[in-house]
Amino acid sequence: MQTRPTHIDRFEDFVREVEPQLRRALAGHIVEGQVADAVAEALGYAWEHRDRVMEMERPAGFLYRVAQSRSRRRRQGWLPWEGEESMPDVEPGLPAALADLPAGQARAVWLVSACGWTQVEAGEALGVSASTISTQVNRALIRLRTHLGVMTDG
Amino acid sequence: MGDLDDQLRRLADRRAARTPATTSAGVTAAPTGPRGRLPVWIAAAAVLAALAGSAVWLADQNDENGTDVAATSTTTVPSVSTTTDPGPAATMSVSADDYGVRLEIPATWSAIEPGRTWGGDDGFVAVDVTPGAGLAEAVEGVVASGGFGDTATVAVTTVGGRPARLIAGNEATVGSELGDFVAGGVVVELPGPIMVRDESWTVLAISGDLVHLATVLDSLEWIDSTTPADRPDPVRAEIDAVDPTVAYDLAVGTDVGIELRRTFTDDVDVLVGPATELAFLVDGWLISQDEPQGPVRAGRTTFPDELDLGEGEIRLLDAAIVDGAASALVTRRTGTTPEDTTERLLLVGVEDRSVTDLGVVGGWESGLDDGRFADGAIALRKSAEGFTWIAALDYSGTELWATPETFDATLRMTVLSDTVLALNPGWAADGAAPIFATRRFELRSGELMENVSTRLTPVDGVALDEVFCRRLVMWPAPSCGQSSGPPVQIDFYTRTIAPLLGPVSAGTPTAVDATVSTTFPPSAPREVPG
Repeated sequence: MQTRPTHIDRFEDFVREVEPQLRRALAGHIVEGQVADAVAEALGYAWEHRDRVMEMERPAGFLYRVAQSRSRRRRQGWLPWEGEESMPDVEPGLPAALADLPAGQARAVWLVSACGWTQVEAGEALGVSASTISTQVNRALIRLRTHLGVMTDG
Repeated sequence: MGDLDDQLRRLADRRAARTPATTSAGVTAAPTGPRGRLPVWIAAAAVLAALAGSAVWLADQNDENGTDVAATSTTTVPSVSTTTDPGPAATMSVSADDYGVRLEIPATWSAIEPGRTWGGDDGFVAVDVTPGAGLAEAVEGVVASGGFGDTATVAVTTVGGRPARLIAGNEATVGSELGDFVAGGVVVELPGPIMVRDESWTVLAISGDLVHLATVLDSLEWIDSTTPADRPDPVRAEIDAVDPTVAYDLAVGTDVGIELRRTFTDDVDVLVGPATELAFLVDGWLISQDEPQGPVRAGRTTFPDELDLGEGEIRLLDAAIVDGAASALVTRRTGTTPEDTTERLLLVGVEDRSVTDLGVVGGWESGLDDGRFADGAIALRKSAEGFTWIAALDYSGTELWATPETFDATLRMTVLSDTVLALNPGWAADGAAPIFATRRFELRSGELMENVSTRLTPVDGVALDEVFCRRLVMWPAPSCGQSSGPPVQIDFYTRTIAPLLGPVSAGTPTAVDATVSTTFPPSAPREVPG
């Protein structure tokens, strides 16, 4: 009986852990139909460079950058998705408000507030310092509140 | 904050759930497809689009052999290097010390002009300063210099954490004297003015071939000596006379005289004298007015002498170079009754002390709120019986135009190149955010060129109720006066408000000649063609 090589098992475990994080993060600024492509390209890169990528402390952030780079070539941007987001439990104006944010703020607030990444993780993913992320998130939240007419919520 | 975070998380949950998961099998089983070659201009366009979309960390468009990368698909396992792949060391660090920046460039490149231009067979990057009092002016200058086609587009971005503008041409190929490359450029606001070729500059221009430009910009670091945090402590000194060899960036009227500031170092020389409401530094001339409504003064080295402008209530509005000579714009108001009260506008040559009467601009319940020299004309903010409007005069005093509508008293005005900006501050979302309704008029014709509302994001530590008024945009706080707080600068393009002078160590900066929407060095002389 032939057994699967260990490195394939390890990579599958790696994908199971990283792929949801990556997909969630990319869902913030890539058009809906291309998130899967971007994730696949990032994971393809990860497979090719698995020895290095799998040893990284925060591979999701690194692969987020890889996916970003690939997707940029196809002129994608931050686009509001239409559809179910207008259901009652998500503020209908939120996608448009996100789309109205400067790109840096939009990515920062998405990774930190929507995806739950730490500021350090988001900083590594976006190539900026954690303090910059902190500032961007704060400014983004101020803008979002303003856009949505939220006066203050603590 | 928690509620908004929850909303964002729900949105992320929903979006993630709507995208199919990618399995490792899908990745590992993917065949490697043939990789085509894109024309250079397509790769360049992709870089431009990416740059315009966000900031500066972008994939290199070339692999190690200089082959252009085709768009990949799900079924293509990428194998080319990107900036995210450290890989073998293929770059080297170079410094443009005079310009205060450090860059990573391909290791195969060499210096073409040491300290400012590097290049090789496959590209180049060049660093230089560019004229312009701010990014808007710098962009206009760069675009006007040609090479970007007839409909260049400008995108807001950041480089090295600083506000920047990406200038993209509409032609597939932009000529470069450094080789047959598709070139692009950005202008970047410096952390502080730098001295290059014995002049002070505030804007850096970086050009390069588009294949490498994004990656090079991504690597930009400000050399420590140019960052405010590493500046030596500013020196404050009282002086009796101005050293003509010192280049000051800013004059500020204070209650102890006139502060002369070098904004890069934050050093301050205080020309001690009477409390001063307003001061300008124009072509080596100091033009000021005592507080309140005191004498208007002009001088070159010691504290300025009083100008004889006749009897009446004199008010200094602006100063600039008109027809090659330092000049002041003042109003003189005379009379004590509704019948005999008159306000006249005067053009004063401070060198020959000439006074040209430009005519009546007000009476008992009317007058000029503000007046600015602009590009060959004078922009005025006039008011009568509670209404405010904008008008323009030529230098003979003939009215060129006036806005057909009137505004409330919160309207403020400034000039930008050959346009006049009328700014109506207000609040969005029930006071949650400040906005400016901005109308931009062509100076000579009065044509309305732009009418937009701009939402501003204050920076940390600046409270809007502390915004200083006068020649900065006046915030509509009822008490907004000439000593209500430190001045700030409002940048319409980056939508930020930033302190202009830093902490005021002594005295009160009662007025500065700064404009909104640009990073215009306040009180810098403005050449006004005749």
